[in-house]
Amino acid sequence: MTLVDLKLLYRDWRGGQLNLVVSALVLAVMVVSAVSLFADRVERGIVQQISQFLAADLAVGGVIAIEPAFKDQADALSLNTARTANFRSMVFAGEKSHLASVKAVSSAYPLRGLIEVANSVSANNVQALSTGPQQGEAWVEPRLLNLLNLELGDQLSVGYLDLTITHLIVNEPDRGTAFGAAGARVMFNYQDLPTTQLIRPGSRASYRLLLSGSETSIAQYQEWYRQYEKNEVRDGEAGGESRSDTGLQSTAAPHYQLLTPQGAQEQMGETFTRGRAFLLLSGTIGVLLAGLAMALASHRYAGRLTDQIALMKAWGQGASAVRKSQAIRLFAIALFSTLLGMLLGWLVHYLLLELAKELLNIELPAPSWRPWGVAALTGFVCVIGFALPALWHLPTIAPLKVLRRDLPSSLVGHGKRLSIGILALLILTAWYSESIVTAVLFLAALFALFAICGIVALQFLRLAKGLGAWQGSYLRLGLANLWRRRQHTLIQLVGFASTLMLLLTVVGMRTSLISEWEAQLPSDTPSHFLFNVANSEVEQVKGLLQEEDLKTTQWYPMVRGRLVAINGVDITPERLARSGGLSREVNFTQTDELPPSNTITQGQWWQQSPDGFEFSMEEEVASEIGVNIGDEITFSIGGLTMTAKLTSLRSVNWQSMNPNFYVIFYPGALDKYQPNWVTAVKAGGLANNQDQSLMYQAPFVGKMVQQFPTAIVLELTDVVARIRDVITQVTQGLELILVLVLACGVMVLFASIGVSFDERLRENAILRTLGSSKKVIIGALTVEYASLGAISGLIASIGAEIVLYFVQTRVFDLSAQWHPMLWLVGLLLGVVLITALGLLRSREIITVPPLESLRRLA
Amino acid sequence: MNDTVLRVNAVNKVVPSADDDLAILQDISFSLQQSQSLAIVGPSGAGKSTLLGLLAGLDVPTSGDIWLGQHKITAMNEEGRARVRAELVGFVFQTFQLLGSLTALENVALPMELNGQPDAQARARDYLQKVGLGQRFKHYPKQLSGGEQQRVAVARAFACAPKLLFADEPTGNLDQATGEKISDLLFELNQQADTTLILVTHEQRLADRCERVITIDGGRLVSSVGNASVVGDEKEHQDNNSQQPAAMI
Ligand SMILES: Nc1ncnc2c1ncn2[C@@H]1O[C@H](COP(=O)(O)OP(=O)(O)OP(=O)(O)O)[C@@H](O)[C@H]1O
Ligand SMILES: [Mg+2]
Repeated sequence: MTLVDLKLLYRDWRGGQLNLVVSALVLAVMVVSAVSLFADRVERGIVQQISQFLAADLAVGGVIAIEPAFKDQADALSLNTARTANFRSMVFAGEKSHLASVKAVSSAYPLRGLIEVANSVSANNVQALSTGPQQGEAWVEPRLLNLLNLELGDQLSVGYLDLTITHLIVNEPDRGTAFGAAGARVMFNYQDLPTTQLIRPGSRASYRLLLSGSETSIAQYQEWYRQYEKNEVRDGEAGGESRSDTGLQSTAAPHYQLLTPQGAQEQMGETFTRGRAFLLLSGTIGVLLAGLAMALASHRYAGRLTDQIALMKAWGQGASAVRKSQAIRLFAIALFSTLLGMLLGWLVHYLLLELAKELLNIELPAPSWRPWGVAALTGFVCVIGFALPALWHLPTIAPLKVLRRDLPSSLVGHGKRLSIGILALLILTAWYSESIVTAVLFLAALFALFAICGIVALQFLRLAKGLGAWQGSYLRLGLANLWRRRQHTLIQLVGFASTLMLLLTVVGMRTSLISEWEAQLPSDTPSHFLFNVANSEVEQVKGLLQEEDLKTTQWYPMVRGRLVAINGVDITPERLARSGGLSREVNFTQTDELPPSNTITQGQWWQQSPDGFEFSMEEEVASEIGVNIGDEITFSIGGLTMTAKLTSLRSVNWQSMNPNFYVIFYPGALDKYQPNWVTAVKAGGLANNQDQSLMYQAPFVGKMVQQFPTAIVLELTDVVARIRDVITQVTQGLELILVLVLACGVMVLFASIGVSFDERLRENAILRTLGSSKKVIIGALTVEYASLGAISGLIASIGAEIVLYFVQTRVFDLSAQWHPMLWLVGLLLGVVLITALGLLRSREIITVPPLESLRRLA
Repeated sequence: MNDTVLRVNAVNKVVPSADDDLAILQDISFSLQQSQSLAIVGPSGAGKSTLLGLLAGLDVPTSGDIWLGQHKITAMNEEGRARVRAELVGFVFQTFQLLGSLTALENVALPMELNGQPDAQARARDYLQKVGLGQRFKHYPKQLSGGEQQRVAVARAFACAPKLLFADEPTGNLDQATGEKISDLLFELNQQADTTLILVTHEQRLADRCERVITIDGGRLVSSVGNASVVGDEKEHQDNNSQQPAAMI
């Protein structure tokens, strides 16, 4: 039996009856497997890296120097220890400088894992070393040599420290997830750190105490740390007196964190589950469209099978035998298409990896079974959810149908088919996103989008019908066709319009948002930020800038700290997390003058010196975290606490690109914390910087780093370029996925032309016999498809423009702007694509002579 | 040789219609011996096709009994009747009913393949040769003329060696000359294979070649005659009708 079933299947395939069902299914599986293979490999690559994340068994991390008590406890448990400090700093050689990602490591580093180094740029003889740089040595990432025009053995300065470059770093065990977009790595010995003079109280750095040893000692240390943390919390509730048995100041606690490999992995895991879900959900739109195409194509396929099944039953095949034969054929279709889809998906995922190459500077392991599972599930669920309902009635066809062809078949109703299809989608999206709630919300949003597109499309269709009514000949014919089959027309319109809309939106974001943002920057927008300027240096730096005839914004003293209590009550991490801006260490400043791009929205800016400490907060973070005028807030800065009263809320125009702060104190409050100074400099325009060589550096930068080696100069151009890179790579990946989704939309077009194919064949044959020329028929079809494309393109452009409007005004704080290119591309793409493909699919309608058409349909 | 292969006893067929139940067939009884040929004639809408469907076990009567060979098919469920059809029955239809995605050879072989007959291909070739289409194995139905298509259908029906062959207006869609050839073929193969032939027809000439003719009118069996022409006054009208479809193509 099986052999006969496969034979029958092969003959259906040969006759082209399976083309659409199979291609739609292959596409759906391809999209899903490409996306999930990509996500899976990236995720595993990163997790693999995190498992060596610590270069140790355990680490205490902090944004202030690690207190001795932590090391003492480690010594008491005879654990091995090492120290690292990470921060950003200018490194320079001669005139050239680079904002590097600097890491100072003690001699015992790394405690676990090895540092991979090479001794020449081209070398492939990579060495793995178990210890880091000696004093006086700098180990650097190879690209730094290019950036600064250096060679191995040359001198490199970091702050006031001069080093010799001795090794090139290929990989380090605790590199973490550092993306290629960050500054180049410079590693030197921890004992050289003081010489740099880079680390001052207000400086931004992250410190680690690495620990390794026996499992029991590590466990004991973890237990000790938990105990210490608990004491902190209890103390906080009791009113904040410091405890003595840990020997630590209680207020330092929020600045520290115990890092375990598992913890880091879990954190990354969450991020990646979300990323993967996002990508897969965009793929879901493709699955939905492919499913729609499959359902339509299966309907037609079922129609063609009707005679065959009726005959088979007349010849004595029982219903169960037919059902079995049907099941075998469908299984074969599902298996074949899924495997083919997986194979193509495997190829496409390389394209995605290629696009994201620079973003993901990691080694990629082979994928796990999961993406294959996702792909297989997609294939089979699609067959069951979309194809099977259309074919379900076949075994129940009455054998009498061979004599009475008008006998009705008991088709599965449209409502039932719709419910089954939606259920299938729900199962898939829930599996993709690992959350029923996400799946339901996503599908609801998607269907809402479809509904809106549908309503708009219907209006356009009405309009087109009205237009056709007083136009001649084929224009009327084409538009009338569109209206007559409006159910299918609407399905196609919605599919195309929403996919094109997403595509246009993503393309719009990639091509115009950043440049529009740049174009809208006021002409006095600063080009450079100066950070980490010491108190003693401020006047000299001002002098240097004056000599260079450069304007700066106001100078602000800056310290880093975090919120710890509101009105005497500790802030829970959950509450802090509600505000993205305040959940980490943030910059505080003090000034008596309200910064220019700020406006007071509540309370009062200080007029005369207050009794205690007062501060002003940015209104959005204030409302996120839930604080009001008059609240007493406790801050922890560099391990010391200070309480101040909130006396005003400000709105901030972030677009101004001036130094802006969430929290501003009344002058004097921060003096004892030895703040560093920050300002923004205007040196040359931003507008034409794309033409300039990447190596270009404003002349004052060289002088700055030479004279003030501990100051940090941040070029806005660099930052913008980096953001642009990230956006480009992310959106290009998305675009690729959406192009595949669009291909699924084309399947819907083909399928719905297929459904009306016989009808069209007959109509056109009749028209031709009645004397219509071939030209009229081609014209009418062209009008029909072109209008379909134009309406889709129009809706897509409208939608994309609306989305971009919100992104511009709400996310980027820009003034709204039209995107005529988008409309042009949308319309053109819609018209050309749909007309070309539609005519291609309809060529038989045009070319088959009318007599043969009629005979074929007899 | 003289076994009764088909027996019909007091068969009624009633279908529900808008306001009243509609009796399509009323009190039909007759029987037929192995190897005989039977023509069912009568005006359009008389119930001929309905009767044929019942006889072939494709449908069940509202009341009455039908025996096919040894099987009382009116006492069977659909699966049972399917087994009987597989064992005994073959079909030829007015509209040929060839599968468009299969070649001539594949069309003929298909029912045998479905029954798991190992020599399906060889027999199919053999029968296609018998109907004079030895050169057309690989042609698809749309590449064949109407008469050729019906010849393929006849080959398909006989290749299974059915005990009973049911044909509903096998020449209805063909012009007169072609129809003639098809009926020649039917009777020739019928003779060779010792098949019982039951056909519905409008064509007097075809009916005349059958050993028995029964006439249905308004759902009733109005006459059952051995080897004679009995539908004289209907003849002209019917012939005109049967010309109609052929003229259209
Ligand atoms: N299931 C049914 N429901 C309703 N009416 C039916 C059904 N089956 C048959 N009929 C009606 O019964 C009558 C007989 O139909 P049948 O097809 O048997 O006629 P026929 O003699 O073959 O006619 P023709 O020579 O035109 O083929 C017709 O009026 C037909 O419409
Ligand atoms: Mg009939």
